[in-house]
Amino acid sequence: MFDDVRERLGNFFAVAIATMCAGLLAHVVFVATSERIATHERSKAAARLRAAIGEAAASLGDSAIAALRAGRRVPACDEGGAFLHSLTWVQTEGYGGPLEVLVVTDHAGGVIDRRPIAHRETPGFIDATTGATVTAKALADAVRRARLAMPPHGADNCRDADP
Amino acid sequence: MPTRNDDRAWVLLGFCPMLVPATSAVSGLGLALTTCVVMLGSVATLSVVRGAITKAPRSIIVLLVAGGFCACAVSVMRAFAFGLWEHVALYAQIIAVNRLLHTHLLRMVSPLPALRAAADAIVSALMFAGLLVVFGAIREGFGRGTLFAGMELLFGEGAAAWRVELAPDHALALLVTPAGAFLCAGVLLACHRAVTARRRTSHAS
Repeated sequence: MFDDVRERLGNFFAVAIATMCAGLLAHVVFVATSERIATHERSKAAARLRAAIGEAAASLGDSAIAALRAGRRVPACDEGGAFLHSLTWVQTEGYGGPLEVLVVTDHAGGVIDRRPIAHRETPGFIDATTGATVTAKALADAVRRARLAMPPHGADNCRDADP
Repeated sequence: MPTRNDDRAWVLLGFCPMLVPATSAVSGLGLALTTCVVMLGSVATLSVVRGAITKAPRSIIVLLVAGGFCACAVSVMRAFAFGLWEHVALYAQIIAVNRLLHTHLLRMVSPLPALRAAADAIVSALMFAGLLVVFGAIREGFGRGTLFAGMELLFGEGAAAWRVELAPDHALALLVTPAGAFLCAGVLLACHRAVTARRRTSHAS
């Protein structure tokens, strides 16, 4: 009986030590590479933002980008000051953690596009959302929040937009 | 279901999860490198601790060791080949539970001589890695009409010049889809069987 207990205890400690060693190893490598990974993710987010804003990118100054990041809705205008679309940067929770989405809406509040700007989701899942994943629900939640942020009357005004 | 001793069937089953993401030579190479890191790290670790592992939890410990090295390999790939990681992220993470690698790693903690088990595991990993690169290159060549495209994802901007244009206008796009992966594998297996049968016939005569 004591041999059986001793063997079970031995197995338990072997598995516990292996778990701790594997976790420690993965953690050390993750910490060592996290800064570089964060740099890649920031540049990817910036590229996605530029792609999402498109032709209106030139009309948005740093203060407008900061306002976007602060959760305010910002109108994107062309060079002549005509309204193109509204941009809302929404933060929600995905499967892997925080999920930042840029929701593009037209003057009537219709959703034109929603693009993940920064995320920790599995890349294949974020590109092909089917409604069956947490990622898809998070994206839908981001669109819902952007719609709630719409003003009660009409379109945004380009004249009031930050330079 | 293949029998326990049917090695070729296990190789095929082990290869299946890696078929889909190997759409190009660079994707295959990324998965191959991840496989080699996981296998070599796990073999080295298990050869050190094999004496301390009793029979009961060895499968769990092998999985934990492989999982630890897989997490490391994925972190390194994410830091130094971010673009490639975006292509193969999900599949690189499941290398740790690949049936073929797991079988070889279990032999590391079996009564087999350590050197023999390690050599067996490393040779298998290298063959598996080579197969992934060749398979990816074949799919890229026939499916996209290029070869070594996107090598800059792994080797830096200078490697963009390695790209070879074969016949992009006559590419069979089906081959780079998930279904195309299994079609391609089926054709390769049929070719292998035909060559083996012809060789047997010539030996017999």
